[in-house]
Amino acid sequence: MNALRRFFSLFNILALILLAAAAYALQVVQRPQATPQMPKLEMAELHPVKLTVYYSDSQVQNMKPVVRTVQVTEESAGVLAQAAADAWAAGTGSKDSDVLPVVPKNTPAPRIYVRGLHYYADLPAAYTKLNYGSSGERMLLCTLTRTLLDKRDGDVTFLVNGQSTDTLGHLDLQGAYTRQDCQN
Amino acid sequence: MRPQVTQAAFARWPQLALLSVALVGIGLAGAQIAGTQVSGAQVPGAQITFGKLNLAGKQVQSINLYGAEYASETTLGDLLTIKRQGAIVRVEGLGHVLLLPIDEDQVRSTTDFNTVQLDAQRLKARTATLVNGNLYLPLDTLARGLGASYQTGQFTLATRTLQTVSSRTGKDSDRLVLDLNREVTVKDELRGTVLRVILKGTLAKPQRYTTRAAFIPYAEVTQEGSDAIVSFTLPQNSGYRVYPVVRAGGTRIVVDVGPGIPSDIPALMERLAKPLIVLDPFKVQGTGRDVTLEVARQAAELLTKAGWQVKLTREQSGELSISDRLSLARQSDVYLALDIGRFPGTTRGGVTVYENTGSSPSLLVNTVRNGKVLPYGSLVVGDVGGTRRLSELLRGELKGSVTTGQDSIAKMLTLSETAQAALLLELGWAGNAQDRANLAMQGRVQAFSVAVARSIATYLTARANNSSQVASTVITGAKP
Repeated sequence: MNALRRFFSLFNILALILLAAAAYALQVVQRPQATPQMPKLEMAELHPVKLTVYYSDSQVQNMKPVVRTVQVTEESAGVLAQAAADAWAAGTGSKDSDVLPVVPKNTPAPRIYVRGLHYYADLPAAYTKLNYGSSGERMLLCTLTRTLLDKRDGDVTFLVNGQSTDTLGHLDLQGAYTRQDCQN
Repeated sequence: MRPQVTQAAFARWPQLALLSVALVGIGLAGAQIAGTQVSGAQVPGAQITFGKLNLAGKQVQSINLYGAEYASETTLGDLLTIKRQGAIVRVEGLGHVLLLPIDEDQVRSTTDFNTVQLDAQRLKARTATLVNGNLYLPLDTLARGLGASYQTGQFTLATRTLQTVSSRTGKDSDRLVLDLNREVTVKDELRGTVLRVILKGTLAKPQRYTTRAAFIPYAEVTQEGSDAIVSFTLPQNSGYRVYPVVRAGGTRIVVDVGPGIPSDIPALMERLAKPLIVLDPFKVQGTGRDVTLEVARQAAELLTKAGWQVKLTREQSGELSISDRLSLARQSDVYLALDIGRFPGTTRGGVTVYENTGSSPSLLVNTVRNGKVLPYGSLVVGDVGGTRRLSELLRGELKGSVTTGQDSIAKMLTLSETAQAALLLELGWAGNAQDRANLAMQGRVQAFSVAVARSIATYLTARANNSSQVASTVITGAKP
């Protein structure tokens, strides 16, 4: 009886409880993490928006505005700008023989980033191999500038392959382009 | 008997006195009538009549004072600088200085009682006087002192003439001496390396003067309209100064030239003498013949033969880096880019001259082009007018051989760096069969080269001539 009392001393009981708590804690931390559940897929609804996209005339002298309908999920500046750039690179979508696309077919569209009123057009490396003349290169850059700045004031800075560059060949890409730089 | 005679005389005295008074009255009336008939007006109480005077081609009023013709200070003020200094009047003009005492005794002033000083010479002559408090000067004395010719009613200045050209050699400078019969307005212009001393309104005998001087071996005198021009080549590292020396009987213009004269010619002016022409033939791939380079090389050859300084950005062997091209563009006085139009799907053809427009990356260039006027600013930064003039000249030169369009282009990397005239010449379009055929012809390439060379040479020559307007002007003697 005395030995039993000594065995169930207060210290031993507390030590036993602590041991049990430690064993439980060990078991909890070693338990594998629960597999995250896939979020429920909610399809954003596409809706049509009309945008003015600029192309070249057949004489590479004037810019030709063409109203294109594009599908967007939202009408934020970034989404609209990217949709316009995609439409610009994809071709005129017009049967008017006086309207020329500014890049050859299947040329990837530039990636557009918007920060406030500043647009950044990241041209893929393929644009450095277009071999346009000076006036052709001006038409290339100015139609994209006018397309992006059609509804908002601001400026467009051109990057090539994510990097700042001096030129594609003839025109100055060191500074941003505004509408004033691209008058017809 | 004597007292009887005396009494008789005294008895007739009132009659004689009356007769004398009547005669004097008739005399005065006659003089009055005569004066009125001659001049139409008379100053009461003095022997003065008004008259008309042709003063160096201008009709003015004079007075006749006891037989001598005088003109007022106001009348002569248009031609001469007249200052009263106490009892003396100082007359300056036509390269002379005259000192005339003011004699308030009008009768005495018209005699040779007074001594006047004409430049360094003192002599007895009529002098200035006051009439009704106004200063009048004797025209014959003025004519004598000023080297003019005079007869009553006519005061004529001698035609300004370059009489002699002489030279003197020195150790580190030479002197050219131009003697004229009277004062002259002198302007000097540096056109390239040729110094032109322009003597306004002067007659000169066109002649080439050869000297023994080391720095001015010759001087050419020519007549351009009403001006005489003395021109000679300014040696390298030499300065010059032009100044007048007034002396009796004429004016002397002294031109000192040589390394001993400190040069105050702005370094910018030297650019006019040796402008830099940069031809930038763009590399056009896939068109076969390198037409842009051929046109650039042939035009450069023509310009170099004519003494112009030309640089190409590309040769057969290689091309300059973009930073070197931009550096040349910044230094250029004329920058001409040559390109061939390329764009997918276009049928466009023909030659187009594009004028550089838009802002420049340079703050200085933008500031000057936006209207800020700086000394010699036009030599540092050319306005858009320069590009336009060069464009017109180039299109004019091309007119005979091809139809040329005109357009403007902004944001061109090289063109926008230029501070002077800059053009892009598009020689044709790669996608146009007619253009390709034309560019394959040697004759067309030759025509482009000649047009480029001639238009640039004409533009730079005219620019050098016009920019000499910034030179200085020296005026001797005459009132401005």
